[in-house]
Order: sequence, then structure tokens, then C-alpha cells
Amino acid sequence: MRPLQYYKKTAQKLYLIKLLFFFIAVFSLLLCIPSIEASETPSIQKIEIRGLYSMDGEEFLNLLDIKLGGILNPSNVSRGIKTAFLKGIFEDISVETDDIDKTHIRINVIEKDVIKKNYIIGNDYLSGRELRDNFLLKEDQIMRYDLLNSVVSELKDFLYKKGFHHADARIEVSRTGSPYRVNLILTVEEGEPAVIEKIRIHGPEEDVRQLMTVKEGSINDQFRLDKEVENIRAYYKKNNYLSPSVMLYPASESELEISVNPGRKIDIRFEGNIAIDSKTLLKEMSFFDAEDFRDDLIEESISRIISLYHTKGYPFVQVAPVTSVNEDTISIYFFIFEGDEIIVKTVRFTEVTINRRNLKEMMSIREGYVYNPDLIDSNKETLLEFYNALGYLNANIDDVKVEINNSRAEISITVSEGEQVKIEDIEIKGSLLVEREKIEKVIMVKKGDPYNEVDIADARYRIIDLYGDRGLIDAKVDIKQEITGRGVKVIFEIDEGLITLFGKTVISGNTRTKHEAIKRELLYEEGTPFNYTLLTKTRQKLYKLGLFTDLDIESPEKTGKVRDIHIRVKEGNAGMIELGVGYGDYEHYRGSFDVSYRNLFGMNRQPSFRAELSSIERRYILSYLEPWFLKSPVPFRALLIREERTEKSIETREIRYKLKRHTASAGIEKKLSNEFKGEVFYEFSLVKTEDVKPDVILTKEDTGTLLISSIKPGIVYDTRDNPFDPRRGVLAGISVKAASGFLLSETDFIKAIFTGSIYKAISRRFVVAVSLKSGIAQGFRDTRELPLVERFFLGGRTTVRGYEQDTLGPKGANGTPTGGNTFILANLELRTSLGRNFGFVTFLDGGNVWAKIDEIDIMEMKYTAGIGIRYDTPVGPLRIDYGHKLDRKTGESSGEVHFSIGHAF
Amino acid sequence: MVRCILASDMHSKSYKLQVTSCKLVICCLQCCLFPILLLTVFCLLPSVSHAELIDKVLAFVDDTAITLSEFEEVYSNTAKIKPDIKREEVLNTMLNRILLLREAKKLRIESSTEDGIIKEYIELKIKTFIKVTEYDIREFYDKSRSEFGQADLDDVRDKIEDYLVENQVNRRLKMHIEELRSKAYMKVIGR
Repeated sequence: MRPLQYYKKTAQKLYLIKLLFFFIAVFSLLLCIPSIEASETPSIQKIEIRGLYSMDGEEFLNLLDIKLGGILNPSNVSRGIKTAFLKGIFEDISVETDDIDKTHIRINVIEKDVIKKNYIIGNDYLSGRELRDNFLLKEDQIMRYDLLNSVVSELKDFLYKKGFHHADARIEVSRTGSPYRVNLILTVEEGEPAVIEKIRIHGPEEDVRQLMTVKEGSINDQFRLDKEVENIRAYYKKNNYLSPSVMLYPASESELEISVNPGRKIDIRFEGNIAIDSKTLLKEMSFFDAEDFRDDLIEESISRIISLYHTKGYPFVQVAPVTSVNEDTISIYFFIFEGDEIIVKTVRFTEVTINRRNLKEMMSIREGYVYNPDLIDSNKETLLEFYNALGYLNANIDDVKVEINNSRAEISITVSEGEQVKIEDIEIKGSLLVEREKIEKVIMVKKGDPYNEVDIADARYRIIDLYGDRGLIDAKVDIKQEITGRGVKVIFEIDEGLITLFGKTVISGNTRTKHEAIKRELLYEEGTPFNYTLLTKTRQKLYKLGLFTDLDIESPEKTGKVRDIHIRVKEGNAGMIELGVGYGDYEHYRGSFDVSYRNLFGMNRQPSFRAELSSIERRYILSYLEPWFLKSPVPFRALLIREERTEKSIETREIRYKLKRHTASAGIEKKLSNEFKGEVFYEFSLVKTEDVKPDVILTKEDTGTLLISSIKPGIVYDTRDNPFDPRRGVLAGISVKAASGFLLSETDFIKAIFTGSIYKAISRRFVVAVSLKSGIAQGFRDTRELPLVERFFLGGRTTVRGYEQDTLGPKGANGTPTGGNTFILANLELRTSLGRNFGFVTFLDGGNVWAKIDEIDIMEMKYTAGIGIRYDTPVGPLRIDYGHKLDRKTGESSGEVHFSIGHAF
Repeated sequence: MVRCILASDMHSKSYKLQVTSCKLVICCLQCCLFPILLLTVFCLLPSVSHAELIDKVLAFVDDTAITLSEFEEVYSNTAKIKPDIKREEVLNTMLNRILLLREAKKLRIESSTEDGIIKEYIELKIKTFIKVTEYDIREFYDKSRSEFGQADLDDVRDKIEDYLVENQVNRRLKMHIEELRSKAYMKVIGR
């Protein structure tokens, strides 16, 4: 029997156990509380994407607006799905969670199938290309299963029209090894073609048979027959038949009936026309377009003849038609009385206070030119607009009198100007988010200016644009005017609206170009103020990549504060092969071959190969351009060049030296602003010079093999409007080349070239171009003379025209040019456009080469003057120049002729 | 309960007590551990796998999707006004609206609401080409004379004209939508 103490202890123990469990329960509850709290805003811990193939998972999640660590907001998922769907590649997207807290997200994707390849089999008569062109399901496009039947049906129709009346076509869809990619196998069984055995022609049979290319024995090709019908019609229309009718009746599979009715022929003649020839007047006839002959068309033709005469200065012209109509022919004679040609002698203004010369400049009727009475009304309107622009809101042209004496017109215009209204005050209301000063700057009208509604409306648009550039695209600007005495107070009332931000950017249509290669070019970021100007610039930037043939940027409706952007691109062919041939005075015939690809790995990387061949030179260039070096917008370029060149005298064809050069070069280019571009390149060259004429050798490096390792920094300032044929702007630059033993070079030198060219159009036809160029070089350490290949030479088609290629400057004992360490070159050209792509140039060139800097003597400059002819092409003008030596030495030619492409500078 | 056992015969109950102490533990477990277990289960609940659909594509027109949640919202709003409307009808209307809005966008039609854009599009693309002639009005009046009672043609001319225009708009709009549907890639994925 146990003592009572034992039971008490047991009871105490039980009590303690109870207490312990109670505390455990409370503790557990406390532990649970944080997790209950956390369940209100759980962050995403895991994302699983199933079935995604054609785009990057990161890009996909960004469009869905789902990310690890983020909070899943079910109401945003719908928007995310819709945004991602704009990619155009999805069939279904579903978003699921595996847990109550929505921390584990599973996204199931089904993409639309894409046609990888179309195989066409079974065709005997029609080419695969022709069938492919007429097959609506194209490669690289979304597979439209819903169109399968209609596509087959349309292809059968096509085959029927091509003359294969019993043709059959089937499509088989086969899956490729890749997900969502299918091949289409199109089986075409053409059967025997329907052959035309008999052609019956109703109408002028002989003529029609001669015109037709489809003969008896040809395939009954409806497309070809339709063209024949058009050709027959065109033939009769060309021969002045008003409304020829050509009808085609397929009597049976093998028989064809063609009914041709040329209709009535119209014979149009002009009498009395001297100033305008009949061929030109015939173009003014309305009968041919209308294919009819009616009284109203005669009237219209007369009006057009009169208008044409008016433009030529014949205001008194009269036209009388005489017609005769019979069953087959219509004859119409236009008897023309031209009258005198009238020239405007004077244009006078009465009762005007503003400068008469300014008024005359506004008019298209001008003193000394032919008088066209049809311009009077439009000139009156122009003058009124001009007056209104100057604040004369009540101006009126009261009268225009034209007095004609002795073929001279004196025009007198009476104007009542009225009071000039000026802007007395400008007030801007409602501007809170944009600084008032900025608004005042864009308004561009100020107190005291003449009041002009056009200027005020322009100012309003500029204010809207200013707001638009700051994300305030819903801003509204109302204009109110208050009359104050003799002036007007202009009030711009601005309703700024709410800011709009850039949302997600969906890029679609890029099958070869990677998303990243497009995204990095965007000039805006998600969350920044929406700006139409940035979108326009982005569009231009994307076009400049040269990857797209079509580009559409649209911004769907605003959702909350943000506006998403959808960029649709259509990719073009990134590969290119070019062949070129040319002729130059120095190298004679030359040819080039280029092969390039602009989209390596879908990242706009550009490898290319170029070969240039001529009688004196062979050059092979392998280049590579990385547009974003180290993920920054700095282009990196690498080049491998192999070059073999023979320097010759043009006249004697005597070899001065032969050169073999292998060069590896790499560097970066950076556009510092719209005008400035900088670059730094490292160049490693292995140069082998041989067969050097002894008197050219100045140093031991001039012959044999030489290693030149150099750094080449440079900067260019370019404001030219067109680099191939500039009409205005400046091109200036400095480029330096430094070779040193520190870079493992076998020769040490530094040389710099300075260039500066100015182009200015002095009128529509004339452009003045001036250029100044100079170079200096200095050897250091053991190098006294620069090696031959690095020395400066002048003379030839791009330097001093009139001298042979590279013949100026110091010469060796036998008179062979040796080149020098410094040069000065100046060019002046007057470029004249003659129209029809032809141009004429007069030029003055001057320059020389000196062995050393301290030997420069301006008096030794060699000058030439010359003329040239240009013919414009898309890559610059073809040119022939003749340069005449102005200080010719005994034994020298008087000048040289140069052929080339592109301007001299 | 414990007190009750203690009040009984100690000897005969010594074994019982031992048994009872076990029961006590169980009882304690029932009293305390059960809530703990409940809490633990409650805490562990999120890790128990059960897939829940947040949203998905219900149908699409080319690259424009209609999501399930978007449809449900439109359906429930429509059903409030028209309770007997079928789900298919609502979905069809949504698809048609996408087609019309897309066409309106091509014509750069702008309005503050989607309804406004569609209305303007119909005005421009459909209504412009509808002409109701005097002959049509008179023909309709003559055919439906009994419905007009004693009313003269002049009294009901405007009403007849409106009715005929609306009829033609509906007919042409239906044809236009059919044409747009035939050109678009549309699919209803379903739930």
C-alpha cells in the first residue's frame, strides 16, 4: 500500500505535467502568430515555368510582373497574362499556386506552333518557288490550324487557274524535334495540264493573233490569259482607241474564244499652237482616262489647255474645238489662238505702310516673269495671310488691277491694312508641375509682337509638347484672348492632368534577334515619365540597327498611371553580299567583294569580309563589330588585314617598291555627342617592303620586314548633312599614331594628321568646299627617319590633282619620290549642279611634302587648278578631273586627268 | 475526474491509479496536446500541396487575350443587368469588341471610353453607307400599316427611318464582324 504522500506527489507531478503542456501550448501558439501574420503578405519563394520555349524566362516573368521575393497580387496576374500574350507566341498561359500563401507559383505555358520549314513535293510542272509564293502558310510564321482547309482550297484554285484542272493538294503537319515547331509537307499532284487546242477570235483576228503570246498548244493558264487581255487593251488604247473591249470566253477546257472590239478611234489634232507642242497638249486630254467622248470632257480638256497656256504667260489664249463623229472614228480639232506672251513689268501696292519689297517676295507673280492670271486669287490669299501674321487682322485686298500694254503687265494692288493688333500681355495659368520659365521659353511670342493666331496656335502645340516630354501627356492648353485697348492679352490656360509613366515593353516579331539586343537600345525605362519624343527617337535608333524592315511602336491604353509599350518588328535579311567594279587613273580597273552579316547570335554583332583587288593592290579585310562592348553602348571593332601593294609611276609604270602588310587592329569607337566621335585603336603590323628603288631608301627599315606596334587615338567633329555629297557642315579631326618599343615595335615614331573641311551651299546649285589638311611626324629613340610605309606622300586624285599619285615632295637621286615627315594640303572647290545628276566642278589645289618639320617652306607649295565633271550615284559622285599645274617645272607634264568615285574631300 | 478516483478505495485503486495516471496523461494530451497538434497542422497547412488557379487565358484574338478573371468580372456585371444571359454570349461579345476596337485603332479613332470608340467606328464604317430611301419608308409603312393604326406616314416617318437604319446597321455589323472573324486567329481555350 502506498502512503498518502505518494499519491500527493503523483498528483503534484500530474499538475506539473498539465502546467508544462499548458506552457507548450501557449508557446506553440506564440510561435504560430508570426506565421499567421506573415501569411497576410507572403513573398514568392519559388517560381516554376512549364512549357516555355521561345523566349527567355526572365523576360517572360518581367512581362507577367511576377518575381522571386515579390508579392503575388491575383488582380495583377490578369494584366500580366494579357501583356505577355502581346508577344504573339502564346496559345495559353495559366498561373497557379501550390500553397495557400501563394509563395510557390507555377506558370503553365502553351505556345502556338511555328512553321519551321515548308516542303513541297510531287510537283512536276510548277516550280517550288511559285507554289510556295501562292501558299498562304509561310515559314517562320504561326501555324494556323484553323486555316488548313481554306489554304488547301485556295491552292487548288490557284492550280486550276494555272491550267491544272484536275490537280490535288494535301498538307501534312509533322513535328520537328524542337517544341512548338512543325514542318509542313505540301503534296501537289498537278495531273495533266489543260492545253488550248483551238483559239477563236472575234474581231480584228490578225492583229490580235500577232499580239498574243498564248498560242494553240499552250497551257490554259488563266493568269497568263488575263495578262494577254490587259496587253491587247493597252495596245488599242495606245493607238488612240477610246474604250477597247476584250472579252475572254473559255468555251471548254481546250477551246478559247476571245472577242475584241477596239471601239472608236479618236483623232485629236491641234492647230495654231506654237508655244506648246502637240505632244504636251495631248497629255491634257481627258478622254483617255474617262474612256469616253462627251461634251463635259471636251470642256475639261479646253480648261486644261487654257490653264497650261496661262502658266506659260499667255493670258489671252482661246481654244475652239471642232468635232466630227462617225461610226468608227471621232475627230476633234482644237483651234488655238495663243495671243501674246505677257511679262509682268511692275507690281505696285497702294495705301500700304509695310515694306513693299517684303510684300512682293510673298507673291508668286513676279516682275520680269511671265504673267499667269490664274495666280491672282492665290496671291491675294497669301498677302492676306502675311498681313494677318503681322497683326493686321482686318486687312483686306480691295482691288487688283492689271493693265497690259505692249505685252507687258502692270499690276496694281490696293490694300486696306486696318489697325495693327499687338500682344499687350501674356499670362500662363495652371502651371504647377512645369517651370513657368520653361513654358515662356517655348511660347516664343512675347509682349509687343504682332498678334497672329497661327503663332499662338503653334505656341499652344509647343506647350503641349513640353508637357508631353515630362510624362504629362494628358495636358490640355486652352487659349483665351482679352481685348485691351489696341492690343490683345493672350492667356494660356493649362490643365496639366496626371503624370503617365512608362510601363512594360513587349517586343514581338523578333525570331532571330534576341530580346536583349532590342531592349538595350530603348531610350526609356519602366517607371520613368512617358515621353513621345523618346519613343520616336527609340524608333529611329532601332531602325538604324539595320535589322528590321518594318517597325511599329504603339502604346495601348493607359492602365492606372502607366502605359505599356508594344514594339512589333519585322526582321529583314541580315546577310549581305556586294560586288563592285570601278576604274581609277592610278590603279586602273578595280573590283571589290563584300560579304557581311549584321546579326551574329541575334545580338547585332557584325562580322564581315571584304576583298579589294586591282592591278596594283590586293587587300583582304576580316572585321568584327561588337556594338555593345562590355555591356555599354561603346562599339568595339577588330580587324585583320592582309595587303599586297605595288607602288608604281603612272606614266612609266616603273615599280617604286612592293609592300606586303599583315595588320591586326582592335579598338573602341564612341559617339561623344551628335557631332563628336572619338576612337582609340591598337594596331599591330608586320610590314615587308621589297624591290625598293635604291634612291627611295632613307633608313634601313625601308626594306625588309618591320614590326610596327602602335596606338591610334583620334577625334572627329562632323556636322555634314550628307557624308557622300555634303552641301553644308564641317568635318574636322585629329588623328595620332604612336609606335614605340614599349609596345614591342621595331620603330619609334609619333605622327599626327589634322583635317578641317567646310562645306557651304551658296545657292541651290552652288556649293563651296574648302579643306585644309596637314600632317607632322617625328621619329624618336633610334628612329631618325620614319619607315617608308609611314611617310607622307602627296599628289593624285584626292590631294593635289594635276600631279601624279604620290609624286610631290623630296626625291631620291634618280628622282623617285621618297615621302617626308610633314605635309600641308589645301583644296578649294566650287561644285555646281547641272541637273539630271550631273555636276561641274572648278578647283584649286595646293600642297607639298617636306622631309622635316623645320624644312617647311610655304613658298614651295605646288598649286594646280582644274575642272571636273560629276555624275551622282547613291554612294557618291563618279568623277573625272583634270588638274593643270600652275608652276610646272621643266620635264613635268602640264597636268593630269583623274578618274574616281566620291568627292576629292 | 481525478478527484473522483482519489475518493475511492486506495488499495483496490492503486493499480487503477497507475492506469488512471496513464489516462491522465492521455487526458492532458487531449486537453493540451490536441490544440498543439491542431496548431501545428494549422502552421504546416501552407506546405500541404493543393494547386489553386490564379488566372489563365480563356480565349484569344491573335495576340489579344481574354483572361478567365476578366471574363468572370464582365459576366457577373452583365448578369446583374440581364440574369438569363449565357456565358457563351458574353464571351462572344467580348471577342467581337476586341475585333472592332482593333479596327477602330487602325483608323485612329479616339474616345474616352471603349464604347465611345466602338460607337464612332460603327458610325464611320457602317452607318455612313446606309441609305434609307423614301421608297423604303413608304414600303415599310404600307406593309405594317395595321401596326400604325390611324397615324399618317408623316407622323411616323422618323420612327420608321430610325428603325430601318438600325435594322440595316445590325445586319451589316453582323456581316462585318463575320468578315473580321474570318481574318483573325481566334480560339476559345476554355477552363
